Order: sequence, then structure tokens, then C-alpha cells
Amino acid sequence: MHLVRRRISAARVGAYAVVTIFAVFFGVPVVWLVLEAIGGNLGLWLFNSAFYSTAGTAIAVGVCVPAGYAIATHDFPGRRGLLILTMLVMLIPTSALVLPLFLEANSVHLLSSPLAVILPYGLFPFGVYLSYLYFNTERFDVLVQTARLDGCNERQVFRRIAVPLSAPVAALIAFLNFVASWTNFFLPWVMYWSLDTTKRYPLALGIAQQLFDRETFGNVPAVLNLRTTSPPSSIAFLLLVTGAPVVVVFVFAQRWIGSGRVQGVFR
Amino acid sequence: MGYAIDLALTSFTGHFTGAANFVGALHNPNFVPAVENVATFLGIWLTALVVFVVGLSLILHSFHRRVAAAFRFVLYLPAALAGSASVMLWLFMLQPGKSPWSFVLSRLGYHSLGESLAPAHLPVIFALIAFWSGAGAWIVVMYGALATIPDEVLESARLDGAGAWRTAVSVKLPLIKRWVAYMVVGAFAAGSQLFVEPQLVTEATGSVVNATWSPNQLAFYLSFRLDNFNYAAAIWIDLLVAALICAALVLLRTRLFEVGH
Amino acid sequence: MTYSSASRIYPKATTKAINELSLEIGDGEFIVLVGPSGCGKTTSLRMLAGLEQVDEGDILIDGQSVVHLAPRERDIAMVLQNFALYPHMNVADNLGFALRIAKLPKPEIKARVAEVAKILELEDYMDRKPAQLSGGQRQRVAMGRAIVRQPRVFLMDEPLSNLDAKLRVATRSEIASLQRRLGVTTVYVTHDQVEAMTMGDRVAVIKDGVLQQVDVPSVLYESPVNAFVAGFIGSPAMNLIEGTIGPDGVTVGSTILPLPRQFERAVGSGRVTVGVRPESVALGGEGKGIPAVVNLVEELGAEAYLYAQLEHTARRSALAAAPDFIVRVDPKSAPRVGSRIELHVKRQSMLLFDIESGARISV
Repeated sequence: MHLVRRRISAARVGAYAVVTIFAVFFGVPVVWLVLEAIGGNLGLWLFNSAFYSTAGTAIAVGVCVPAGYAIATHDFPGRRGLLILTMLVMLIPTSALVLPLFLEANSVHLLSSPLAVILPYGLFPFGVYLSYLYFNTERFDVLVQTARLDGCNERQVFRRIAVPLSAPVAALIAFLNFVASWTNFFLPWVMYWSLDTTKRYPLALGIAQQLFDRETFGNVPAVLNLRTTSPPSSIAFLLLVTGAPVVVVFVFAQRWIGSGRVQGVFR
Repeated sequence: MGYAIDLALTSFTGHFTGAANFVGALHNPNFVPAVENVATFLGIWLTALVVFVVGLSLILHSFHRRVAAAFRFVLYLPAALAGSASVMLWLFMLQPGKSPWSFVLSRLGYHSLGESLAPAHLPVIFALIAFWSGAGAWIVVMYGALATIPDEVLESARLDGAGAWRTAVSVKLPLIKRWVAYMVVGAFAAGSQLFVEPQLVTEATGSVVNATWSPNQLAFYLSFRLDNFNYAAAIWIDLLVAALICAALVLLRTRLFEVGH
Repeated sequence: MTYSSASRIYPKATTKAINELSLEIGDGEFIVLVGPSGCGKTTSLRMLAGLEQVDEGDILIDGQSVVHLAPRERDIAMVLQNFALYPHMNVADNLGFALRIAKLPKPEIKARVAEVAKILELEDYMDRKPAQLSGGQRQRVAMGRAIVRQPRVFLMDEPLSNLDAKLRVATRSEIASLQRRLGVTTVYVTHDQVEAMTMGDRVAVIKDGVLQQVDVPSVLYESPVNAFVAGFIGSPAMNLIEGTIGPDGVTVGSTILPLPRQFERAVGSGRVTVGVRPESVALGGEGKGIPAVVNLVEELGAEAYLYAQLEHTARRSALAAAPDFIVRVDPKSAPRVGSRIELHVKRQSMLLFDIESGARISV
């Protein structure tokens, strides 16, 4: 039914707001019910995972896309050097970076804050490289030159040409970074092991805590408890809950990655 | 139904008593308050149903197909819970300590379940529960109703210059009048016989809530606590008649059974 | 109005539904878009209306691009194929709906509705709902809704296809004279080439999303630009048969037909498609004609059409027979079914088309 391109009007936003409010009213009790049945601070952990991954990915995209664009379309001294450096950092295994990051976070007293996890999630050299590859093509060269000839200054070129056309690579970077952050265990483990609360845990840590919880199951790690039937099913559910957002993000990312907005450039 | 009518018109010993049972039920001290309770409840609930179900259905109809389907799914989830389960769930929702809505409850000044369940709040609370559990299903029905409108009529409206609001009010709404009427009639009948929600709340809170809050509860109480099936039957007949009157009024106004358009 | 290399590509489709359509339509013109089902004529109309996205190219009305405008901002009125009247409103409300949305003053709405009701003879039906109207009456209400808005363009999507044959013919002329009276630019879509030829100032033939030819009806008839247009325009259809060009003329089967004089100097050699209209064939004349057997004679009163099987294309099985060759004959002297005849093609009326591309060969 949607045919001619619609402009986003206030009424449209209002309509979405109203429906979302009702959806929340209808959905929250059900979600609450499910979470309560599982036990543990599941809702909080879920929220934490979502928060850390989204924030980290936002930073990653915000840094990688302009960085790759800049390297691809401008010639400056040290350009090659920067590229090689990026490649090298990319090659370092992430686990090797975790301890230095821990020490850094400790020295600026960020250990108990979400930033301890979010900022490292924003570090994504592979994303810079992907962005560089995307923008380093003939068609972008042509577009950028045309824009410059038309009198745009550099900021305008970036805003009007690069940003609108960056959807596919932005989606790709976002997807890869999100999944890596969501499933990351080691980094948050190191950052938060010294805290005496589980409030900051992302989902991965929460699951681990449930699996190894000794209190509820009489000094036996929950995962080894063979007597009751509930641990396996709730753990299975936890795993499902962990995996579901990734699938959702994947589906969304697919549509954006394949959007091929750069059609018709040479007509 | 025949048995109920028979019961209503006879005494305990089987003598025909005419309207005596009806009068007796009327004079029961709990009768009038019960009717008031349900009337208030119906007023709130039916208004919410008509306004929000129709409103949400129309809004969703203007969304992209998949987005609308996703929202409808979420709105329908509560309907998947059995009636008693939803009441239990709401007892948690209304508890200032445990509920995810705690911040709302504390802003309203309620700090215990007892305060949430104050008698004056009950019609609203039962309406809320009934709405939460039932609206999703009605929204799906309205979706089916809206789907019967031919696409070309909607295109015509677009060509005539009608925006989303105008199309919803002038074209879609008149064409789903019958379904809305059906919803009102059905909801009135179900609502006037309100039993499960107040009964469960009574039992769960150890009679913080009055055991004869609604007429149907009163009838139940009379039947199984006081063994007065005749008064109970009279009350049930009253409820039936009320529902029939509502149906008649609504059908006359919207000509529900008019064949053709 | 101008279509400027406009294209429509449906999502996940491999071909374009409308392929770079370019067409200029003049003020007050009645132009007909015609073509077989699925050729894209309705899609083109809907692109003009704003009901379909324009994926490539542009569409201009009065010099302004309208591709980003919603239908109501384009000042056009459209008559849809199935009329799409509002089922819950009576005729008067149906006619006035768009005017009420445009917030015209009530007296003016009343006046316009009354005037249109008069023109279309709907005065007696104003209180009825669409379900209580006949097909013809509904069609008039659909047209009335468009007229009452006094737009700068009328768009009509096969408005006559839901009417019975006789009503169709009568309404056809009514629409044409109405348009002449009102003088509003009209774009009319139909699959019926007779409607196209009789109603349009110009006719645009579309096939598979591509504009074949646009011109006044007579030019389309006399000088079709390719075999498709030649075969589509004209009723009954032009006969298109295979032939081989040689030094003496074109050989069809075993008969050599002389080429029209302008082709005297050989246009190469090889296979061609020969086009011959039914009225350009005589049953007698000088020299040899193409031998054929009469299959059927259609008597239409003042004239008759003869359907013959060319002997050289006859097959054993009736199911695999080649299409009949149609000849217009005088009903009084029509040959009998089964008789053997010779077809003499009037030399100057023959048309030649490239056998691969279908393009007309001319000197």
C-alpha cells in the first residue's frame, strides 16, 4: 500500500508512539512472567547486553565509517602507514588486548562503569578496513570529485555523498560488531570479576553465573546438578534467549546490506 | 435456560411464586451495590474497548503489513494466557514491591497490595485486566474486518485527497460498523456476567475484596452458600435480559442484521 | 504532461514493468494507451496518478516534476476499472466526497454535484447506494466523481470493460463527446483497439512495457512502425505471413507476388514478414494468386469476412494449423466453405516487416 515515498510526518511518529505504548503495556507483563520463571536477574542482564552491544556498535560505526572514508578518498602523508597499522591491530587476537585494557580502565577508575565494556567494544579496526575497501572504489572517486567540482567543501561531501551511500557497509560493520560484542565473554569477565554485584553483568556472564551457582543447589555447581529437571530447561531457554537477538539483528542487517543504493550512478 | 426460568418463577418448595423471587433478589442488600459495581466496570471497559480497539486497529491498518503483524502479535500475547493466570499475573503487577510498574504505583501513592486493591479502584482494575486479556483478540477480528474493504475503495480515497485520518474516519470506520457493534454486544454480555476476576481476587487476597462484588458472584453465593437457587436463577435471568436489551439497542442503531449493504 | 524515460521496476523482478517510457501529451488532448493484457498500460497510468512509484526517469505535469507529489497534490482525477464507489455512501455523497475533503463551501459542493448529476443523468438516483445501482449507473457515478473535481487531467482505467457490449458502444461515444465538451486532458487506458481508434486524438501502443508507436489512428493504421502494431491495430487483424524476397518479388508458398513499386530496387533478399489487410485482397484478378481453402465465412450484414487456410501452410492435424488468412468479401458473392480460391493481393497495399525484429521495412 505504500507507494509514493512518504515523508515522515508528526502524525506518523505519533501513531507509532501510541501503538508502541500499548505494545509495551500488553507485552511487559508477559515478558516479566517469562523472566521470573527463569530466575536470576535475567531482565537486567538482557538489558545490559543490549545496552553494551548497541552503544559499542554505535561508537564503532561512528568511527569506522568516517575513518575508512577519509583514508580512501584523501591522500595525506602517512596514509599507507596508517593502513598498515590498522591491519596489524586487526591481526592481534582480542584476548591479548583484554588485560592491557583492564589495566587502562583501572587507572582511570572506570572499572565499575559500563564504559569499561562499551569503549573497548567500539574498537573495531576490521571495520575501518571494511569501510576503506568500500569507499576505495572508482564510483566513489567519481562521486566525490563531482561533488568537489560542484563546490562542496569536505564536510558537505561527507554529509551529502558518503553518509547517505554508506548504508551497506555501515550495516555490515554494525552487524559484525554487534554479534562480537553480544557474544563476548572474556572482556566483561575481566572487567567485572572484582565487583561483588552481578548488576553489571551482560547476558553471557549471567548465564555463567547461573551455571556455576553453588548456593541454590547445595554446593554443587548448577550445571552438574542431575537431580532436578529445571536447570537444563532453564539453561536451554537462556541459550535460546541469548541467540534470538542475534538472529533478529541478522535479519535486519541483511535487508540493509543488500540495499544497493549506488545503482544508477553512471546512467 | 428453561430450567433457570422455571427455578426463577418458583419457590424453594416448588410452588409457583411469580415475580416474588425477582423482588426478593432485588431487595437483597448486596444486589444494588453489585449492579453498581458491574455497571461502572462495564462503562469503563466498553469505552476502552471501543475507543482503543478500533483506534489501534485503524492505526495498525495504515502500517506496513509486517510491522502491523508484529504489533498485533504482541498485543495478542496476553490473550494466550488462561483467564485465571492473567488475574494472578495482575496481582503481581499491582504489588508495589514486585511489579515492573512499581514506579507507577509508587507515584500514585500505593505502597501495598491492599492499597492497590482499594474498593474504589476495583472497577478500574477489573476493566484493566479484562481489557489487557481480551483486546488483542478483538484487534485481530477488526483486522479481518478491515481486510474486507476492497483495496480500490481505499485507492479511490487516496485519489480523492483523503489522508490517513480522513480515510480512517470517513471510509474505514463506517465500513466496519457491524463488527464494532458485534464487539460491543459480545463484550456487554461477557462483562455483565463478570465472575472469575473478582472471585479469584477474593480468594487470593483472603476476602479483602467482597465475595459478592458482582451480580454473578451474588448469584453464586446465594446458590452454593445459602442454597437459594431461586434467587440466583432470578439474578441470572436479569443478567440475560440486560444483555438482550443491550443487543437490541445496538442492533437497532446499526442495523446489524440488514442483509446487503 | 510528459513521461520522460520513466521506468517502473517491481521489487525482485528481473525485467522492467515499464521500460523508459517517453511520451508527450498535449493540453486538452484525448490520448489512449492501448496494448495487450499485462503490457503495462495501467501501470503507466498509475505512475501518472501517483499510485505507483517511478523508479527511473521523471513525469511532469505543466512542466513540473510530480514524482514526489502524493496523488491529491497532482490535481488529477481517476476512474478506476472496478469503479470503486464508496459502498456505504449514497450517490450524492460519493460525488461530493472529494470536494468535502478539499473543504469547498457547502453551496458550491451542492451546485457542482447537481450539475454533474444533470450531465450524467443521475438525478433520479442521488439517494441510492452503489449496491442498488446497475453497472452502467455505477460507471456514470465513477465518472461523475472525476468530473465534479474539475481537475486538470482525467485518467481512465478501462472504464468500459465491466459493461455489456451494447452499453459499451453507447457509453464510448458519450465519453468522447463529454471530453470534447469539457476540454480536459484525458489519458484513457484500454485493451480494446476499437475503443482506442474511435475515441483517441492519438493512440499509444504499448507492448511489454515499451512504447511501440504513438500517433493519430489513421497513421497507426496505414503506417505501423512494426509487425506488432500492424497486427494489433485494425479489426479484423492484419494478415502476417512469411515470404522470401527474390528478384521477381516476394514468394509466398509457391506464389510470387510483385512488390510495391517503391521496392522495385531489391531490398536485399531473404525471409520477410508480409502484411496484408483483409480489405486489400481480391478473389480474382490478373496472374496467379495464393491458393487457399475456405474454412469459414462470417456474415456481418453489410460485409463478410472469409477465413481461409493457405494451402502451403496446411498441416495434417487440425490442431497444429496455421492461423487463418482473413479476407473481406461482399456477402452476396462469398464463396462456399471448402471451396478452393486464389488470393490476389493489391500490390501497393502490401507491407513488409523484418522477420527477426518486426520493424517495418521502408525505402
